[in-house]
Amino acid sequence: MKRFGGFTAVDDLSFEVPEGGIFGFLGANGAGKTTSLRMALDILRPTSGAISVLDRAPGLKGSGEIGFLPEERGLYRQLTAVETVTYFGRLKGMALAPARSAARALIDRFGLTAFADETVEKLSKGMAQKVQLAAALVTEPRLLILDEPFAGLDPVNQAMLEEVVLERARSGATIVFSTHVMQHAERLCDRLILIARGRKVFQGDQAQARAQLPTRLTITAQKAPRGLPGVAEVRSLGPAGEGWTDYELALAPGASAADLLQACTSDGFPLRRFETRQASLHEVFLHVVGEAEAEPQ
Amino acid sequence: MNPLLLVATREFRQIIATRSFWITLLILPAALIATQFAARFIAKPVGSAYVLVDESGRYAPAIEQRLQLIHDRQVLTELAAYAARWGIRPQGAWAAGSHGVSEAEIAGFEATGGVAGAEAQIGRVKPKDAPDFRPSPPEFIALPPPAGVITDQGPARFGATLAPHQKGEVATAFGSRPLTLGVYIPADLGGAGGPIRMFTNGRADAELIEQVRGAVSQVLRVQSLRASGIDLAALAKAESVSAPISVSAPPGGSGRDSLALRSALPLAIAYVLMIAIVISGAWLLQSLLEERSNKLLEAVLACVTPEDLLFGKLLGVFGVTILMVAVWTAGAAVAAFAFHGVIAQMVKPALGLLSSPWIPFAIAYYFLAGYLCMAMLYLAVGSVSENMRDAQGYLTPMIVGITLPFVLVVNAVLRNPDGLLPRVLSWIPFYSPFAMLARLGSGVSPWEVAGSGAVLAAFVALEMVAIGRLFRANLLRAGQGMRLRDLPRLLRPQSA
Repeated sequence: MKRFGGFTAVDDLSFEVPEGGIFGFLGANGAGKTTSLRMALDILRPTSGAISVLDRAPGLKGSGEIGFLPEERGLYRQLTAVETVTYFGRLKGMALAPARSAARALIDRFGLTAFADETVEKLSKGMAQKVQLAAALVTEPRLLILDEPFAGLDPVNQAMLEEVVLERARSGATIVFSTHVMQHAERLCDRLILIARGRKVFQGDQAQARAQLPTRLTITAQKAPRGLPGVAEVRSLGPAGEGWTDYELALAPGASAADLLQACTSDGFPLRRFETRQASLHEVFLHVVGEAEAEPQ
Repeated sequence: MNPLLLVATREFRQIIATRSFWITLLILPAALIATQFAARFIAKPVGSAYVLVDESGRYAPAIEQRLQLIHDRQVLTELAAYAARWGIRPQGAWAAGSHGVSEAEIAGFEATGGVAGAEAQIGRVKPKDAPDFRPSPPEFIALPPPAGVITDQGPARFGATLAPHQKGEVATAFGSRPLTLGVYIPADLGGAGGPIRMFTNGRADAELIEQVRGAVSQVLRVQSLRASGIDLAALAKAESVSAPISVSAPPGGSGRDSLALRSALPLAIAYVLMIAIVISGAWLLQSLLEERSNKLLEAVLACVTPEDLLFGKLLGVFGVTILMVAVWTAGAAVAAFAFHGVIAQMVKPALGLLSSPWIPFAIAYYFLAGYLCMAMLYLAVGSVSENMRDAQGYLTPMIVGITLPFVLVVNAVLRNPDGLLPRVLSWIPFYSPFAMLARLGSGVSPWEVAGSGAVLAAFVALEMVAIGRLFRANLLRAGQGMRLRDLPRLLRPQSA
């Protein structure tokens, strides 16, 4: 738990991030994502409770094993790109020569070779963002924590960042990133946690998340499919011609589309179309977080 | 490398890369050197020249004697000051220090060789590093009438032919001087010849005119007395009577001049300390607010502790300050020793204080501890401000808070270094660095230095702990102004 005066920013939040893979830390603005990440990094201390990161209490011991890209991003304007990345490498315990060498490699990797020795104030915003990312990656961390990493990035840099995240994950690192943009989470996350008002409202993989909402189908039939097994809601979408009508169905929790299709076949219920549509993470988010936000505090 | 040292190194490099640092660094030595150059090449010599025409020849000797007396008195005063400054114990009229010198004493001084005799005596006993004694040139220099000046056709003709020479400067034995005055004394003064005629260049020295008038009046009085039948020998004897004076100087260099001389170095260091704090305070503030302003605080705090960040910045800025003070000191030394000016004459004897083995350590300690004590105020302001605009609101009261103790303490110490106020202030942390530095030249006891130093060290340690906590507590309070009632809670450990 973390309180700021009378305000509880994080409340009874417990979760575990499995090693390896990409873990999404999702929530609306002000849900407590940044505060939780700050506590994991020992930038803030919890009011109560315990945190363990890489099998030890948060702190700077072994900080080289953790890379961090904060939501608020800035750089020392008078340092060059290479000096910046080297400086952060050294702060995390690297010796000068390896830090400088790693910095050069990352600067090259991000296509900034020509600007390696330019001061940050002369770089474009996009270039500066790459330098920030390089500073987080310079120690090749086992755990990479990214707080709203896609905020403020143009589509090209978003794609570049996604690529870097996937590459780090493939090399065995654990990635934890917070976001409120579900499309990124949908593309990247193996597992995720949803928080609202500082509390956990869901934790699991994407399939489990989608299962939070009923499966929806669109069918084209000659009559309304009421009474079929597992159908919870039926809504007519209008005539489809030649006596056929489009319907949207919502299945009851636990019911499967396959079972319904099998029932239609065995009962001789005529169909011209049978399409299942899984809930998006965005819909799950709105459903789960919206309910939690609507609850009285 | 330790993260604190990494932070300090970056701060140091960043500050010395700025243009404002170099301007600040070089402005004081440049000013010192420029002052010395100005004193040497630009400053105009004092004094003026005059031309005297005495038709009767009765008054000129009295005028010259009177003006010579003024110069001799000036030289004797300078000799006394020189002897006191360099610890020379001479024999003669200038031995008793600077006080009113009688005409008889001046006559005695002249009888024993005058300035040349005094210089010979000084040469035998003066310290090796003491400069030669150089008497000031006379303030009023008598000149023969310049070529073309007509002196035998009455005062009007004299004035008219002298006037062109009074427009610029004329050559004298002591260099060029303005010819401010022409004096024409007719043979029948006050009778058919009329009054003394004086021709000025518009800027004549009133004292010179007064001295001429006085000398001539004296001759006229003697003539009048002689005409009245008064015994002139008795009159001369009576005029030579001078009240006996014995001036006692404080023993062992405890006089005001000696005290000022021995206090010069520690006082200069106190001044430098204050200037260094005010200048480097601005750097400290900018440095402390840099991460917050540039939105990179979180990224840095993921790598270093708030305490390493805070004190690394302090160390870096302190390093810059020491560099700046070292350059200033070197500049002052070059200016002083290369130009052999007034500064050199002050600095050399003032360095004698350092011969006591513990004084250099005490000076270094109070400079360091004083710097830390005051710098903590800037760190506190930086800790509770979000940007320079926020911090500006605290700066004026803070600078007043820093300079007020300095002014108060230095004045109190110079008035009476062992007075109650300086002794009390020596134990109050914000005052003690200045008070002790100012008092070191007056012979403060080692136990008092140790005790006051220990109190100061304890206070600085407390400041470091408190400001470390304040900094940590305020690190990420963006947009949330600190209220005074929050302070006790913020100063508690682990309040982040």
